[in-house]
Amino acid sequence: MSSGAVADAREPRWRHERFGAIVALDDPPVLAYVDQVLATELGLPASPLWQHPSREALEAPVEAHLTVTKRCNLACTHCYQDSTPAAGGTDLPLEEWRRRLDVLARAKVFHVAIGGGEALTRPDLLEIAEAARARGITPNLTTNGEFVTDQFACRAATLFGQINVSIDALPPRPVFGAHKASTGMRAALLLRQAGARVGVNLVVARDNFDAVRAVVEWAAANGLVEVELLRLKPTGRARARYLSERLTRSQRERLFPLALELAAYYGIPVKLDCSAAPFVACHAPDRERMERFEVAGCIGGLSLLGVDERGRTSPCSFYPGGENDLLDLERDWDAGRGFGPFRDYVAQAEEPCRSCAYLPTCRGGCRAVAVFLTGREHAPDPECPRVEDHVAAPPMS
Amino acid sequence: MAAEPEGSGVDVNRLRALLPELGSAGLASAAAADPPRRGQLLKLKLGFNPNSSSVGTTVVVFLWSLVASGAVLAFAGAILAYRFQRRRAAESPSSAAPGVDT
Repeated sequence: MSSGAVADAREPRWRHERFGAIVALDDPPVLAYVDQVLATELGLPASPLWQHPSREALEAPVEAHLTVTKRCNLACTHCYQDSTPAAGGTDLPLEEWRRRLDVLARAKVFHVAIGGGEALTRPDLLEIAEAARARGITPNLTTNGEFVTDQFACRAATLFGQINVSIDALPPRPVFGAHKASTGMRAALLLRQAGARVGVNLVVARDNFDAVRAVVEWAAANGLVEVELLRLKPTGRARARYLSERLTRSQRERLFPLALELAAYYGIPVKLDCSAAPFVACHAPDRERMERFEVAGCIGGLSLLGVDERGRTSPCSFYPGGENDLLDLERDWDAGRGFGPFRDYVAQAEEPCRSCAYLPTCRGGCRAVAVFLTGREHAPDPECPRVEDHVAAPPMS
Repeated sequence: MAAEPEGSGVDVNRLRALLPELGSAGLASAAAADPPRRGQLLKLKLGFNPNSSSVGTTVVVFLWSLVASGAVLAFAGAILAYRFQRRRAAESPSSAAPGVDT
């Protein structure tokens, strides 16, 4: 396999699933789930999988999040990886990542989301991205922007599908113990000028909720492609201050209307991450549109895979993984090893999730939050407004 | 200006405004596609996901009317059909399957 080859982004990539097939395009960037009839109409061959009973988990992840390093130039208080400048001693070398990318390619994984730590602290980051491209996998990247140079931006623009830069508030306001916004804004503009598709990651918490609007306005004014609002999660260093920094009930209920308002006003897509699904569902949106456009809650272990800096897998990067190595993905994915509470949540859902019409799409909110706050991996997300009301309600006599 | 994919009833310019994720790629050429007639596009995920947490929730879809949502799916189907037709045309006549099976 050539390490330098870059796949033609206009060529459709596909794989069979029990329901039909998934087709991926990079330009325009879409993942399309098609039924067996449409798969046949597109010219795909029939698959023995089409005779198998349907199931919730896909045949393989559509995306894997790769923590390629634990090292970071910063030490933000909300870091879910507990990254520091001194970390990185357990990072896999390039050759080991190539072996694991081979595994993902054999499983027909479409995308990898590369992050850290700060991924650019690795001098071989672009070689990892090239290795993904050479295997027909689209690499995407998250960075704080500190090490983005003109030269990096030019190379990155042709390699990555999208690069999101972390900006949690506009300067001079420090957020989560760091002054990183100016750096991120400079990097985003450099990458944009180089032709990259650039978005913003914004971890939204109690103290920066009112900073969201200004970041969205800036992103729209500078030609960025989206702003993703990520819910603060009690993982890594963020555990210590989670209870005082998490969103208030009022903010959780305002998040979805705010995202809609900002998207409409500034004309830029605003995304919420999967953990915010309960904050969408509590507004009773149209379920058909949710399902058709994958406005989904937790998909860890179903179509998403987390991989830590040692190459160990987990249902998502916010949930503790075991010792299963990505090299054994084929065996572990089919057997569901390590994916238990994510795979069987719907079947075992407790009230009020069990009787909630949005259970199949929301899937009980964030497992990482549920475990942190309740100690139980199958507990409904305690920060879902409906769950809060259910817990607060007096028992029926 | 791009033409509408025949039979899909999609106004491309309106679609562009509603769906910046689609960009400009394929909008003109999709008109040449023979759109899918019976099969269904079950689900559509738009954009890339660079993040650790998920493929995300594109709340923009809730700004669309139900009609526009249907148009997006129809148009995406036309783009897929065009891409696969182009791919088949580029392959040898004996090849029945598209080649980039990732």
